Amino acid sequence: MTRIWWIESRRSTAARLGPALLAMNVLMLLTLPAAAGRTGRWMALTMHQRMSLGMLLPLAVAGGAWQLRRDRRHRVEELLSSTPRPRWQRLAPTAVAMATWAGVAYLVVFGAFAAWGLRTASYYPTDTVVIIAVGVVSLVAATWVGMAIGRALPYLVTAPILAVVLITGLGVMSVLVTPDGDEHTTFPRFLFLSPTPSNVPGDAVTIAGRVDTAQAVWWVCLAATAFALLSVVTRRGAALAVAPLLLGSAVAIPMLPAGRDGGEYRLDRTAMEQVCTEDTPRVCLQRVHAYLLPEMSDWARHALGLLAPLPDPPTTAVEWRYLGPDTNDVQPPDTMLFHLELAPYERPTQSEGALWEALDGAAASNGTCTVFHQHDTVARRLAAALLIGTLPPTDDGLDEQEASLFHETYRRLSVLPHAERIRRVAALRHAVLTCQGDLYQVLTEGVS
Amino acid sequence: MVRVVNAGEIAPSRSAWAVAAERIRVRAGRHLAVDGLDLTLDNGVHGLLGPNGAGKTTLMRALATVIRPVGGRLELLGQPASHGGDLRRVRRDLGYLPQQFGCYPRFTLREFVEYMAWLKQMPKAEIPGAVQRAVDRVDLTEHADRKLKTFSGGMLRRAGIAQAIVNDPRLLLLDEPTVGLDVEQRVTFRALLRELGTDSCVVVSTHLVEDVVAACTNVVLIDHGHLVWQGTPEQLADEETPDGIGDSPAERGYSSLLRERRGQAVTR
Repeated sequence: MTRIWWIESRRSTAARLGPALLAMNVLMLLTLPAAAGRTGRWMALTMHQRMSLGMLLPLAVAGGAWQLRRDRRHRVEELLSSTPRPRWQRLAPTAVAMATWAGVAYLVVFGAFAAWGLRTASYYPTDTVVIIAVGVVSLVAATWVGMAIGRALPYLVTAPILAVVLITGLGVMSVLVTPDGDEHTTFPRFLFLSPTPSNVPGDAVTIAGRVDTAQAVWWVCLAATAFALLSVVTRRGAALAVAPLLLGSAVAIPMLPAGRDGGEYRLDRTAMEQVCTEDTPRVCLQRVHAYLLPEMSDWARHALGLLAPLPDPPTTAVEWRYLGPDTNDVQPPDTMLFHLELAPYERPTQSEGALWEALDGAAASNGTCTVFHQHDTVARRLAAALLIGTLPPTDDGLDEQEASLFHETYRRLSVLPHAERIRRVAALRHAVLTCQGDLYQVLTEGVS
Repeated sequence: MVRVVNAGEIAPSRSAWAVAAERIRVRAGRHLAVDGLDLTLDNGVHGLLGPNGAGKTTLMRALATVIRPVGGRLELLGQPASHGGDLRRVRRDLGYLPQQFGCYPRFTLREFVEYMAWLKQMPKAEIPGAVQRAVDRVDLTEHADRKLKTFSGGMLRRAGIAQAIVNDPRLLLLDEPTVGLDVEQRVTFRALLRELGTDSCVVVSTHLVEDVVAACTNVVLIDHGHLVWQGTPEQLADEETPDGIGDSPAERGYSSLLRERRGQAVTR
């Protein structure tokens, strides 16, 4: 069988499916925020690799369906039906060849991007192995599902129609999983069986173990059903072939968490551990971002320096952490809690964005506030601009109306004396730390 | 490796004939193409003759176990093949070239014949040698590692014969094997047929009487799904009547037998 597998690996659709998947995967990682991998964020790379399944799975299904057209297209069905080897044995080398190419294409791309980021990463979560493995299983299952469909519908149009329908379907599923951005909105939990993750809430999360297990069980069972459907020769056999999928669903779905945004993730406590500079002022990043500490500490200390004229200024800069959908990281009074915002996935020192993010964070909620106001975002950006003394490089994060308000207000505030500007920023920070007052009103009182 | 052998495998053949058909009826779609045909064939080369629509291809498909008869009794190589039989045992000793021979064009000839040998469950160690022998016998040695999509029609037909004979079948079924072959290739092929027929049962379906006369030891003439006549090529030539048409005694004998048969059918 090894020899036949080798022949099929070179002569069947597998030989074209593999390179196609590889090219698509590279394209997905380059067009998605793939620099995550290059900058040493293993889990982010892993998640993006899984997200790329949104395109790879339809391609794999289409490739499988295309392969099963071969016998009819080349009129070999009659010849094959005169041979003694059972159908499942005949199709096994082809199915394994398709699975091999699909799996190798997926792993090679991940390996290449991982090697790229290997030198710079500061944290290597072992979960990535499981997450990638589940991705490979889903890809193999998709290929075999395509073959099973191709057997039932051996038409020219089957493969392209499958690809379009599945790309659309997976897109709709991802929308359903994050219906309106509201983390409290619920949806059916079986949607978590999709191997494409929904919005990943940070770099220090991983897919929950029971979700990994449920997905692995379900996709393995789906692969078993697909291969059985591919092999059976009687209607009774076809009916029995569905059994693994039913069994897998019965086992896997109850294992999944309740369907709500981000429900498939768990916090990776090791990734969240603080790694701090040894010298002062202390700057701390999560372990997952520790490789950025040398360059980020410069910007954070610059920000702390700009905040120094404020009464009781913060003396430590600590990276904000995602603590789950219902929990906020708390900002102590002596700490500047800042977002290490790597989107759009540049290294933070490539722009002044890091400084802006740091100061923006300094004026952010302390983590316990429950009341927010309409122009809080504008107020925080204004505070940062007043401390730095220039306008930000971009208006990213503000809508058109907010950007207009920001520029108009900055024009009026920037002409105030330095001491008055500092006083207003100090008032804003006090309001932030005590959760009292509308930040925009506090900052612009008597000027607007 | 030790393999468990079941009783059926070591049981003696129930019939001494390679093909034993008793009033078999075989459908081609809804049409009953073979209707109550009796036939027995032993080792040798048997030419299956008949006009278009006589039921030759349907009969060949039934003998190849591609379709099962809807009635009657069919035994192949001593195994029941009409209903309830273990077709796998028969198929291991079967070689078949369908009328419309299909193959995978991306495969090389060697790969395709090897693939067919594997499908015929030949022992792994014997496959490479058997493949080379089959390719040599159809005179495609130099083209063994070329992809089939580059083959001409005649070469593809010979590739089809190679895959059919790779397992040294005891029952070899060739449906229109000489289509696309040039004169030299046909002469070579006839010699191969005679060689194969010495220790196996070869059934060649054709409408070319000259091929049958040149290479076959036995002639089977069917029409409208019935056996019309069975005998040697020499006996076929002896059936010649003044109203027979054709360029040779055998062709005239063939047409005479058909006319006689059709006349009887009309009278009846």
